[in-house]
Amino acid sequence: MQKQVAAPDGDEWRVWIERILLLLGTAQIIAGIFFFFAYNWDDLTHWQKLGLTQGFVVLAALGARVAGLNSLVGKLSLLAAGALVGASFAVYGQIYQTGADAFTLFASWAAVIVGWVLIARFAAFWILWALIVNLALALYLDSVTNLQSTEQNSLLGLLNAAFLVVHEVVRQRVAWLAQAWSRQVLMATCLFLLAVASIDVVAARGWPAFAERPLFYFAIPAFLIASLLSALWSRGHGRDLVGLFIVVLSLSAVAWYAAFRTIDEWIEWEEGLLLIMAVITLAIFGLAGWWLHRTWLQLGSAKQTESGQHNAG
Amino acid sequence: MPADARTSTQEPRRLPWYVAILHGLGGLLSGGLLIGFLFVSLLEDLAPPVFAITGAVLIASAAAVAWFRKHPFVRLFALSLSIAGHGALASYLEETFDFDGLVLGMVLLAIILYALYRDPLHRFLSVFGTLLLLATWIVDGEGLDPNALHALLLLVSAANLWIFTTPASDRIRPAGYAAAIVMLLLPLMILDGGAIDWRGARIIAVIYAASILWLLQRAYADFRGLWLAVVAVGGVAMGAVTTPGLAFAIGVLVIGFWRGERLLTALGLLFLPVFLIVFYYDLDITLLEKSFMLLAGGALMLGLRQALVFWERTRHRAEETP
Repeated sequence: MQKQVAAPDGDEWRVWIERILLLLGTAQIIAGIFFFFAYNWDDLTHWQKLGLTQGFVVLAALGARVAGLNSLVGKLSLLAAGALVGASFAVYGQIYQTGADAFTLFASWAAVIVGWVLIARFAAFWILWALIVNLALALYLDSVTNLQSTEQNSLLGLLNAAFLVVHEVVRQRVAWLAQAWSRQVLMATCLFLLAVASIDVVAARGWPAFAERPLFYFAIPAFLIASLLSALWSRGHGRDLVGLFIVVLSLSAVAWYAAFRTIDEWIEWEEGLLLIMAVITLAIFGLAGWWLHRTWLQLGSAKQTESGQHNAG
Repeated sequence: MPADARTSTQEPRRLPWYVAILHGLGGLLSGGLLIGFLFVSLLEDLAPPVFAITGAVLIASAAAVAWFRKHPFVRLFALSLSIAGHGALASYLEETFDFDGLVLGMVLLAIILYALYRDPLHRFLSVFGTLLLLATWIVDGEGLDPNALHALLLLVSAANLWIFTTPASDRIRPAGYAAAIVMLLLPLMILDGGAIDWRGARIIAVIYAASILWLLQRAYADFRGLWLAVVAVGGVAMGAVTTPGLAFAIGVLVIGFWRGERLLTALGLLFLPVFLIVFYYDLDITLLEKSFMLLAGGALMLGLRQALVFWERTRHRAEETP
């Protein structure tokens, strides 16, 4: 028979529907504002464009002040104000054609709203801020430096590793970062970028001179160290099985590609490559799944077990 | 030794979703590589019946292995063998009986194997793949009316409702997930097909949403249906105008929360914005009118939320008053 789950009571339904309505309503209003600008853009004067965008920033900030930062409405209002600051910077840049590099817009945006991020006590706002900083650094690396994508991804991965460390240190002291999802987003971003950089290194034919491209040599060790630390932290301290899944998935992807490249270069029996890779795929993903499953059983407190069963496909 | 690693004839224990994803990826990838190897090195010059025998042997081996051993690694191995076997058998059916024969064969195989393959992931992939094949056949098959997609939509929406809202056997839960995803994908396929009459999908969406409302009313004896009715009616009304998928996404979201199926809730949350975008994109009005509609829709939702908050506060005050 189907598993028995206590159905939500009236209060739980109400809170859930309130949240859905709040999210959908806010998203539609923000989309409506963007549509309005898109339609009228050519007809608006410079003053109207700047006045309206900055007016919306002020309105959203006032909304946060009125609702209070202890409420979800207040937090979402401040987040919307922070997002609209970027829109007003973009409008300014478009009107006056300052000629500045694109990364300065994102860097300024991040710098201006950092105070709001600190006082909002809202994990989603902190993640938005981290995303803006990522964009600023990515644009800077792409437009100003002559680093290759492998090196750029390594540096961006390191940036997210730094965010992750700060997140975990701060999380010990503040309740609003206690939920696991923000850590998982940062961990996934960090490991994804370092995994892509590692795959680039594996795919490259020939290694550049260390003096010219030191970051090239740095990608794989950085990925392995970040994976190891993330796994140890997720298993030991956080008991975070989703975090472990992120680590295992990225390690499996890099290991699979490394095996493919190595065997592809050595083997002369081309059809055999398919068979050998089928066996290696089974071994890599089987081992990864087995280890994760065993860890799930070991860490399986009643809550985690129930959570896992809820999510089983 | 974990319980599910022992030899047993009981149903295997469900895996947590992250292990299921790893196994799904590993199974699909290794199964694809295996079928590539078989075709390139062994079957290339052989007659189609050899494909059929190879496919049948691989599928039977997978079923036998998975039946007697429940260890996760064995289940992954069986999944890989089965995918390769399905590939070989599908190749034989297509060569011998064309696309119609392939579809019929695969549907029959999925029905038979559902009992034999007791791994939930395997069952999900089998039903999901078969339903997608059926949808493709209806749209691309010779002499078929694409409007028959509505019959498939009706089938998957009814299956989804029945499996998740009644005390049905846990064994058919994977089929319920496959039905839910196909139910959410079909309205997107219908969008793309100019030859398809939309009215059928709208009617099914309205019946689906109304059924959920009726089931909720039955489940909650003290049903104070105001907020549920508001959300359901709003969603159905919007869905009935242009985008049936909107009602399906809201329905999946509501059932997921109601039955504690977090994966179903996540599916609803994933598809709801997709259908909202489709809804606004499809409206035959100017960008300015769309912006007013979005602002009004957003204000309506925030207003409803405030009304709920106000109503709840009033109720609390009334209860606290001696």
